[in-house]
Amino acid sequence: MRLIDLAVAYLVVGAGCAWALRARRSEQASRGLADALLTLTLWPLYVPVLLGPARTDRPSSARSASPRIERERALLHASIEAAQSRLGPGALTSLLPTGAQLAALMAHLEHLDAKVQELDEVLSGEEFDPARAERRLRESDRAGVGSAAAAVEGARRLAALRERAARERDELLGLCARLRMQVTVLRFTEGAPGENLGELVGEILARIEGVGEALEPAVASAP
Amino acid sequence: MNADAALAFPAVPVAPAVAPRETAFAPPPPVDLPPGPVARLELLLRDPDAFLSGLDRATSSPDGAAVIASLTRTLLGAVVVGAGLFGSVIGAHRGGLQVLYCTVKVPLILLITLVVCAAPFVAFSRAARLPLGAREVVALALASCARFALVLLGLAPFVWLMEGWSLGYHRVILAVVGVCFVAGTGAGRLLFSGLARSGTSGTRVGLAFVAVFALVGAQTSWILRPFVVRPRTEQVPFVRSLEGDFLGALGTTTRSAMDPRIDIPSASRGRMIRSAPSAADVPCEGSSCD
Amino acid sequence: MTITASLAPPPPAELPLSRSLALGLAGAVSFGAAAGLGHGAAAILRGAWMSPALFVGGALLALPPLYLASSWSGSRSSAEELVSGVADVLGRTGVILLGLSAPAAFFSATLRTPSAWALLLAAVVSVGAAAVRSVSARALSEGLAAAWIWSAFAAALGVRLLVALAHHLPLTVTR
Repeated sequence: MRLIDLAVAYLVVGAGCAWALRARRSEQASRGLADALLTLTLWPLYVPVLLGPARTDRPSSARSASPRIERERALLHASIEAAQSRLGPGALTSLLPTGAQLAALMAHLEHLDAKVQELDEVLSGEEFDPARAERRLRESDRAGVGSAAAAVEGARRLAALRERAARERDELLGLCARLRMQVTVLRFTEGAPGENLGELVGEILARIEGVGEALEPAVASAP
Repeated sequence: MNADAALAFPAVPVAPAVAPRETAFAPPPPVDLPPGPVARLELLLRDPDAFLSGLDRATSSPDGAAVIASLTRTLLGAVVVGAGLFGSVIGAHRGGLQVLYCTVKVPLILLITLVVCAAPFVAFSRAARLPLGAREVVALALASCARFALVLLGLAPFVWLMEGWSLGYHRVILAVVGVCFVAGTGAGRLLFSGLARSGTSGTRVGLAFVAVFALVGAQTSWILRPFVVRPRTEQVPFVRSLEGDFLGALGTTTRSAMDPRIDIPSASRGRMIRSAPSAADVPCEGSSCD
Repeated sequence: MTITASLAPPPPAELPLSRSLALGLAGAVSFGAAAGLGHGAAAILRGAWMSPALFVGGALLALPPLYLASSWSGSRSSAEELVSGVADVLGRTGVILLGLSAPAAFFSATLRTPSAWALLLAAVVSVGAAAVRSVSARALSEGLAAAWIWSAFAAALGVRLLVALAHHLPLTVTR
């Protein structure tokens, strides 16, 4: 296949895409003609723009988030949108967290919450119940003391992990609540920037950074 | 209803005060794309971060598809007009039909390269699990090329000046290369900024894309040569025959630059140099071009 | 306040094993066929079987040593997790090869010099190296020595496969 053959094949595919597009969409004649022409000549660029899937969201957790997290998500989004609509474009709006930062924050909260739920399930089972494991250790003979001790240690570690996850989830939720409070205060701050506004901005940035620093996502390596 | 009062704030320890991080962590201004094509192109040139922010918001909005489609048409127009006018300046070195040829060919380089590289760019983004759809990837690539074309347009008078001073064929070539380098830097800044916003793998995706784009672009420009033609050339084809390759020509040029004896024209050494008026400049017709 | 690594968000969800393998295979076939597009039907068919032989075959051959290296490095990943990880990387490699099919077809139709082979080789080596690095980072993150040893072995395996497959290639340019 030579270049001219490749070009012909390209235009044939383009014609097919243009025809399919025209059959699928009903628009005003001029716009339809422009789209058809662009599809015919630049279909690898234009077809994804017209039909391609939009931004993909982060994969959601297998477990549903707790009501507390869902409520915090809704309140946070509402307060930020209210602040954006009230403040309009400007220097103050630039202080608000972006959608990507909020999405990362919520995703991490969900992950922590899912971890806590999963560990709760595991610890409620017979194998890792701490009390049952310690009783088994006391009652086991010399041959079984090793595995019993391992079970006790495992249960303790899982319990510690669960407490740590729950504590960090609650601290994050607390930070979210403080963030909402600060955003609400910022929403009603008007007039020339002054010392109070500077403190407010610094505190919001510190809160956002405090959350942001904690949210270094461990993204899997890409090829 | 005061929604903020609905949730009792849990007692939490006060986080230690952290000095505000500079620059890299400052959230970009959440702006919308302006409605008109000229305003959008101005935003693309003046404030790429704001443009990316607007692109981000547009793709997240309910009518994102229509906005991006409209933006795509604007960006394609910028590529055609910007690169086309730069091409006409390049062709003006020889004048005549070469002006028209280059006006057509320079935008074709960008468009053909974009068309070939769209699929790998989307594939790289998918493989790296970036949260970017095909639409966003194509829009970002197209915006980078449009920025490239607009900077070329802005620097075209510089090339015209170099031609007007009659500094010689090679210096004009260097001027063109320099201008393309500056334009490429501007385009790369937009591309890498856009990809970095999507995740830590964004930079690697950008590097992979630039590598593929550079190779395809080099081959496309080789296919569509000649561009800067010596004024004394009598007949210039629209395209030359498809022989040789860009890398081979680059090697020849490098050796020529290092060894003044291997210079143009140098018939006594038996080397055919493509830019010299020679049999290679006979217009190719029909299938002999391929 | 910091979130420990053990509580960091999970990596993006992996595709099912069968889908990853299918993507890997489809991408390799597409890339190989596209690379032979400008050289006739025989070259298209040759590319369509050589490319998956290289990428999928290489992944399969490198899997047992990967499991050994993972065990010796102290990793607790099971064989199933390793296979799943390798399949995921193979799937993503297939996506990349699928995307590179367009430039491969373009160069195949327009580049008629020995540079074409060099470019194809560079592309194959780059994609392969990226896949090896990805597998090594995912499966052997707990042992640097094991990661290096396995990566070197995988690279040597890739070279061996390339040499073996090259015997089937007519290393001249079709005009």
